[in-house]
Amino acid sequence: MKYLYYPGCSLKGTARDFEESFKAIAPVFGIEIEEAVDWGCCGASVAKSLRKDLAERLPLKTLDQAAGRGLDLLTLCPNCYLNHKQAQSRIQKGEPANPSPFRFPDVKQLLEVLGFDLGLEEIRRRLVCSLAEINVLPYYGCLTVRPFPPGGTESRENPRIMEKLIAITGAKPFSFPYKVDCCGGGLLLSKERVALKLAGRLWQEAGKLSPDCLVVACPLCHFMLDAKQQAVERELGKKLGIPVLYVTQLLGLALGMDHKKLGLHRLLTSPYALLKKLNHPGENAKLRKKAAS
Amino acid sequence: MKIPSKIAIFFANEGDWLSRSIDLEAIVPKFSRAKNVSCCEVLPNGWARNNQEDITGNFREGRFNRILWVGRFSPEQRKLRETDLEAAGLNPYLHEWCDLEEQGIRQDEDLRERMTQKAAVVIQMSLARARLLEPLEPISIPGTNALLLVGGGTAGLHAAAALAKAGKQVYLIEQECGVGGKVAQLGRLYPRICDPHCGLDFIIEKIRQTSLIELHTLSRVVEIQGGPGNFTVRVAKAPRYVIEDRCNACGKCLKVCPVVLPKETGPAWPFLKSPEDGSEATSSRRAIHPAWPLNYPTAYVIERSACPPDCRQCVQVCPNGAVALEQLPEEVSFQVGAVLVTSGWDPYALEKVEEYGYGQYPNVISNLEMELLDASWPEIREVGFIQCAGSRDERHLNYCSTVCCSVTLKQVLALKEKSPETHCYVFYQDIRTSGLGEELYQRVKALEGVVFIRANPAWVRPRENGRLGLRVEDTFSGKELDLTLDLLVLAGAMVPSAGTAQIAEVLKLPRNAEGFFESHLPCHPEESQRTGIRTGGASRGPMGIDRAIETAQQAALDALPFLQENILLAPTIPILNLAKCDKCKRCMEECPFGSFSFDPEGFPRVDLGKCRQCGGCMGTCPLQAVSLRHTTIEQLAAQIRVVKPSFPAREEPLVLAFLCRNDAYPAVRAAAKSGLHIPLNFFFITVPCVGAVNNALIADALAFGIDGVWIAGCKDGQCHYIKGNQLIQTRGDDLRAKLQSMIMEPGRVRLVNLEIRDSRSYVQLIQSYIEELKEMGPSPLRS
Amino acid sequence: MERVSECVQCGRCSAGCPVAFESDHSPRQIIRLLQLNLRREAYRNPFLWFCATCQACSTRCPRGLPVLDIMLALRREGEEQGEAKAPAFYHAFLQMSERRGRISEWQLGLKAAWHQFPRHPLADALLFLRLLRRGKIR
Repeated sequence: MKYLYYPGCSLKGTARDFEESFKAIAPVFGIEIEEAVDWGCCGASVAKSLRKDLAERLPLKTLDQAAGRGLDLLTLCPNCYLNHKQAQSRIQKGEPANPSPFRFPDVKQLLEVLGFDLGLEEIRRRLVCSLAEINVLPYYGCLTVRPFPPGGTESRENPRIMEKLIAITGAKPFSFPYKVDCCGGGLLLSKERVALKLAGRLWQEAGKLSPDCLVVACPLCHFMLDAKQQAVERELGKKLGIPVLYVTQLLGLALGMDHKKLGLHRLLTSPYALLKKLNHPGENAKLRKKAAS
Repeated sequence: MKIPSKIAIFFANEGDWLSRSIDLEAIVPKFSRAKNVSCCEVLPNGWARNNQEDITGNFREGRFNRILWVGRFSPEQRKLRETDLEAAGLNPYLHEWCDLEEQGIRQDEDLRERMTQKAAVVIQMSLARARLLEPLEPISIPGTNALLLVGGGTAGLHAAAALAKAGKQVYLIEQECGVGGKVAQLGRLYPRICDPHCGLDFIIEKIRQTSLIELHTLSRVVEIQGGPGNFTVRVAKAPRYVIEDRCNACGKCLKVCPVVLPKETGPAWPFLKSPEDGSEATSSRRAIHPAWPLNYPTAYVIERSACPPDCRQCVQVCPNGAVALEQLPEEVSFQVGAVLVTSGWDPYALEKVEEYGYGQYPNVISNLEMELLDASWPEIREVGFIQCAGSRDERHLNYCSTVCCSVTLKQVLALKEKSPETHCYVFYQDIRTSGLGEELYQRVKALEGVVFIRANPAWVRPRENGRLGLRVEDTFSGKELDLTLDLLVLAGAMVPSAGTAQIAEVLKLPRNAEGFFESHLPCHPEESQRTGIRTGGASRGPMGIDRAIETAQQAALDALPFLQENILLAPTIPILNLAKCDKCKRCMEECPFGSFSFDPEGFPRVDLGKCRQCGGCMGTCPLQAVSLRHTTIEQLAAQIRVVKPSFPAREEPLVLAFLCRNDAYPAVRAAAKSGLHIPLNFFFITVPCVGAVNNALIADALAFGIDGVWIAGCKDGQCHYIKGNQLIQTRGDDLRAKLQSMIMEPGRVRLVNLEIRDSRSYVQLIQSYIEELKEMGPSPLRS
Repeated sequence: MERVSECVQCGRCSAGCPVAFESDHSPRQIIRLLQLNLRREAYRNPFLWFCATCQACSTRCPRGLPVLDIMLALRREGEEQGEAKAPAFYHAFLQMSERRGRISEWQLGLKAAWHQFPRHPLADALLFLRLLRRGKIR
């Protein structure tokens, strides 16, 4: 299974732990990746708000590359995924016509590769540690399921693929009714008040369940829920301190990987308590110190 | 022995414009000398009575044996002549009617010469056909005085009772252990808020009293053979384990049966009971139990799979020896004249409307479940009703189920009667309680504590204490509301039942995109695509109880002709010339009614009962081995053959049209009658359906030098024979190849779809077609 | 955009919209404005720039209208016709993406903070340092 990997801007910045953990676990599952060269910003939700032509043009560059290499495109960031997938489905519909002489590549997101291309059984077979001790709250956010749900068949109102992934690690997934609601990440830099309110509403509901951690598959959600957790705490007037992991990091733990290799040391909300509960070897002095600070 | 045709041509001179618009004196002598014509007369007083007597007299004297009428006539005038002369001994199929007006003859002094010319061609065409007319007598096939009814719901029960009243034997096939269907599972009926069992008991009493209805429960139709009047239906019957005529429902077995089963329908309402209660314990249903949903038939039934091994307690206790645990499945066969399907509906799977949480939260229930919910629970204070849950939604079902609005209003009313304190919200897009239902709507609207919100919520989420949170934008005020409810009722849609899908498969009954049985609304609503098989009730589309009963009874009435000893058919049947046939089976493939079967040698055979005489088989046969009586391929060919030679070459293109008799022909007739100018170089022939037009005829016309062939059928979905207009389209490839070999432009053949009122566009279409032909230039074969 | 006449005003888009609560307006109302051919009012409607592009409206529309695409088209047209002004962040983003090809999140954050004063400036400064220490700002 080989993909052309499009990182996207976040994965090289605030979400580098997402990339690190994905690159750490991918070889174990036999996922081969070839990183796109000279890739550019996909336009996020901004280009389509201002310039249609630009928004439609931006994703074509990497799509062409994937077509030339004969590989399907994989993106970790759901926003990049959406833009590339939309461009791809426009081309499939013939508007514009396929510019490349090759078969046009499919565009995949992480949950699709893990849950459908690879399959749960393939993953389960390779896990080594059971995470039976912990209760995990899956959170999908918007764009992992809308408008293109993983595998094309997942429910857009009540997706379950993340729960299934959590369950095979041995951890107990919550069923979270607010799992596809918006975290507000997209508004953080334009309407901060609203963004924090949306994240606050999510944390309010998530907090009631007292999970050991949240699991996400989106850099923006992660930033909103992890990095901005303290701001949300301030808005809510309530302490949370719940770590937010990428689904790749959770799988990495179930593979018994080192916490540093998974980028867990980069989390803003310390996963110390979580790792301790798991008796994870990564529960070392440094993390403890960090948790204390 | 064939009697040579002696044709009398009568021109009915009404002394009106028609007789002045053409040169009768030139025409009459011309046709008097024509072959097979014994006389050609102008009837000076048109349709006057004394003319009629003369004609009858002359006929009796044997001066002619066919009549070609020329002039303009109403359908009533035709009928009158035919009946009168039939009394004198002239077969009604030996009349040929040549209506000059509908072919476009009109009064125009300047064009009188050309009008006369056109009239001559039209008469020539009719004469060609008149020569080939044959006397025909109605055909009789044996029928059977019994009907098989599939589905013992309310619609089926009423139809069965009606048929029994008319003295017909009915075999009623029901897949459940008892009759009653969905209606028996309802709590109350609007508008009287009465118990449906009241009406059902009434109809069952009628059924009990007749010996003509034979009920078979736990049964399914597995095979059907034969045709209308004479079907053989095979039915598989699952064992009941109770002998029906021995069990008198004394109930002794109920007391000893050790197995308690959950209730048939309705959730266990866990939210109403604490878990310690053990919600199942309240069920009184045992492994042996009365029929369901109604206690008819009286005999009990055993869920054998639930029985403990070797338990024979019911056998031992039964005073009548009615329990038969060793019963085996059996098969029964019935001879029937017709089949009526009233296989009903199922509720839409509301789990699919995921945003409303049905199946996820116990207090989100369907409207059908609400029917059976006993509403005496104080803890339910706030109730929401979401209308159109999954209906009128392109992600689910695009249609409206017509009854859900009234059902919800009725449920609100019943709820408020029982617990007036309850607060109700109705979320709707439109309230559809048309007709007298408006009263119900007003009544509910007037209630205190019932709020109608014209909007649909986006989602439902759980809140504290098992309550439900729901967000909705009240579209009238633009306010976003956040509500917390105790119970949410989803108005789910009616979809075709699983039984409907199953019986459709067995009977090969086509269904529409939504899965309901197709019919030709409004011309033949009760007719299915299989002759002798009728459909009624909600298997035909979502409908209320009253309409379900009416449609089923209407279908039963419509089936009556098949339940006679002899079924009379019109003689205009397809005749197969097997000497020409090469067994290609196209007739079978294209027949919209599945009328063809094949004998052991592979030759086709028509089941006359199934045939609707559209002529599709005649149109499709590549070897012209099929011919519809009274519109035979020879008659059509003869008519085509005379058009060109009798029409002298001119600069105008010559067009021959084939018109469907249902829609295009009436449109043309209306156009002519309303004085619209029909081009003089345009001639038409009518066919029962455009599907009957054989490619060979089209090629013939073009080969004879006609410049263009115009075929006018119905609009899609309006064809009385389901798909005649599509059949001719699908044969287009063959035709194109044929035209290519003749070096003929495919554009010379034009297919159009007309509705019965399209007279004006009809004329415009012809004119623009003629313009196109002009550009194309004359046919290469026109000398 | 030409499909707005298909809207039946059921309100599902608005009820499920995460930000409609924050604004006095809703996607349904914007579509209604378009049905009434009050385009200018639609362009000027502040709701447009509240939209978080979460796709909930398009997903739940029973008529299958691309509600979000309509909102985005209105954003563009409003800007082009000078009826509305996008928040500074949008222009900053586009400028950066066009100039450098990629986005530097922290620089974008700084720029945005210039135009929209942060709610918790001190905490944000601290967050900046913490991100820097964790190597998330490069």
